[in-house]
Amino acid sequence: MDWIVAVSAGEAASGEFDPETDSRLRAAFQEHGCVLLRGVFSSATIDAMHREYAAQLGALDLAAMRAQAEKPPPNRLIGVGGARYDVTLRMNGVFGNPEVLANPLLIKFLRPLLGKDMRLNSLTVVVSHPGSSQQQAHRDHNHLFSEPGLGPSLPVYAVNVAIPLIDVDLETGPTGVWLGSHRFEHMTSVQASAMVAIPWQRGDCMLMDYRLLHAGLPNRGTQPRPVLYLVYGRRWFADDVNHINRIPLDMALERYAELPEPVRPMLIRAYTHAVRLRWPEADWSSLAAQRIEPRPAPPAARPLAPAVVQAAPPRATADSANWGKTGRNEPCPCGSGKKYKHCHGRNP
Amino acid sequence: MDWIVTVPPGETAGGAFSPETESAAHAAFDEHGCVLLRGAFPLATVEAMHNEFLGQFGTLDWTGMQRESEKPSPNRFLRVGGARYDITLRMTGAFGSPEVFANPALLKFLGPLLGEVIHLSNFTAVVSHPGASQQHTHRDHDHIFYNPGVGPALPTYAINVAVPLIDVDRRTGPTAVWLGSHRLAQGVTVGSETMTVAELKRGDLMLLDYRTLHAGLPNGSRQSRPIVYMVYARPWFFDHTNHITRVPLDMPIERFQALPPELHPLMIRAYSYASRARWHEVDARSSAPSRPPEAARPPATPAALAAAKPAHVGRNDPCPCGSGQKFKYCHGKLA
Repeated sequence: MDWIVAVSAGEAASGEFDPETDSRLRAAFQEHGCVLLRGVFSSATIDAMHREYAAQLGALDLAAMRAQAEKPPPNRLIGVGGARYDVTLRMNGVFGNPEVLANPLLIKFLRPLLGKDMRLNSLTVVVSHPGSSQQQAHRDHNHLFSEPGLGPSLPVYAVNVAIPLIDVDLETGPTGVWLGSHRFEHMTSVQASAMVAIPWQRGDCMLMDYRLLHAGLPNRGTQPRPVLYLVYGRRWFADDVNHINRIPLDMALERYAELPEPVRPMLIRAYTHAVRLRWPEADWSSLAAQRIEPRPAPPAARPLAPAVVQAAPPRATADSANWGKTGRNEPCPCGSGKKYKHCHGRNP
Repeated sequence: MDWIVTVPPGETAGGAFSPETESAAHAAFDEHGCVLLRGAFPLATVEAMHNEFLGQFGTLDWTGMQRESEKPSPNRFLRVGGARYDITLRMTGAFGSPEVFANPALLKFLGPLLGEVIHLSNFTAVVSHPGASQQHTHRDHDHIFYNPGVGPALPTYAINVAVPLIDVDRRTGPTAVWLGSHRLAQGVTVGSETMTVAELKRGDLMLLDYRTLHAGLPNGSRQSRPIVYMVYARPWFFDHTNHITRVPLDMPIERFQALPPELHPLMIRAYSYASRARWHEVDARSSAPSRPPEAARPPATPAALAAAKPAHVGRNDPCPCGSGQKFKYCHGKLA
């Protein structure tokens, strides 16, 4: 069963899967714990998301993100390995749009898996900056029960939906996955050579069982790689590992009140966070001060042919001209104080 | 296997259950989804908890709690059936003592049931006032998977530990349980002929699997019945049914930081809430006593505590439900 399933234009427009697509999708997800859905979102929607992302966070380079992540909790940013940061987005503009939060195709697929009372747990963006190294193979969360054999046998309890906001080629580094690993008892049994990675196009989304082993690949490109993550979970599941000190949903109460009635139960946690929690005063105002004009939408890239690779992709030929805005002899943007060429610029 | 296990006084005083006590209690819990541990807490500990409760909320009678529960969220007070309120306690004084929320014997008992990492998820008191009627039969939470057969077969994911702050006889209304019902499928109903009731004494602990069916019995007495509930859970389980707008743990951050580091994982949610909860706003609009810094609060004297205790409702007094009728013709009919 192929883990890549293309959505037809008709399906995307109607918000309904053909029965045949639906059953292929379910079989693939069951078998692999992962499915790449091509063409769920229109380029226009993705570009709108990218503009909103750029308006909120585009001004933050690696050093700025690192500085933010070091502030005391509750924090909007957490470091997730190397030059990667996971940032709670404000659910403004397109990020507050039910077409994104409750995409009809995604919801129709997820409801039977997670229950009618499933919840949106988090809406964050993971930005991997140029120079990011490869992440360790990890699960978003371990099996619920450590009793032998029990965890792998259980139905899925949460699904992470990755939506790349730019085309992500193998240089820029998509996420590599170990197909079928949601059923592995232990994390230690994987081999690097069994990892599968494929370039992402705008409009794709990758659905991962929360137990699936995966790893972000190195960013050897020149631009930051923002990927939106929407986590849907069973009603009672909360990510105690990643969200103990972080508020993973940030929707203003007024926005919540504007949501269509049928969408609200799924977004109840946004309401909960907004009602009973507070953001530290210093948080967003300091970011807003650095706010810049939204970046223009990236030019439409030519579609990439799907190419499944084994293990980490081969490195690009060294070409210092490609290494972005940071000069080799400038201080590394990670804030280490070293020159870029001796730090994150060292392994082109 | 009896669902009631008596802890010998020596074990309670020594802070550890003997292997025999522990294995009897584990067997009972596994079979019944419920175990009553008689005398597991020292009387002095329970008395200190009761005094702390009276110091925090003792002045609030039924009407006062109803008024509090009607305030906008987030709220400390949650109405859980007629004349019953579930209140998030401040974990200060006796409620902030590790002897209570991290009782060594209790934690050692819970370890094999909930796994290596356990979170304290709630620390609240349920107060049933005179005239409270019987609760509907319910679980604290449904099975975590709706897929047929999966939920009932799973190990427990959360355990509710009830600590009665007063002796609860049949008239005051203990909690009735349906033994073994943690293994019943969703939607299976039970009748009152199969329920089990035991009177509770101060020092007893009643441990309920979160899936076990139970119901608070009517309070036909003249006094309010406070029971502290400590919920211990697997780290990924959050009670999103009862705590949509309520913060179920309230430990001041300084208190958390002063805890021995080995208790930090258990109390991580308290930290999580304390670092971002809006208690200052909650308490600013509450008519309940404001929260003075713990150190500044004078120790409660017996006289002050007696004054703080709500008066018993006389038969000829107006009913506290506000109906305008005499208590004896209204909610006092049960008495």
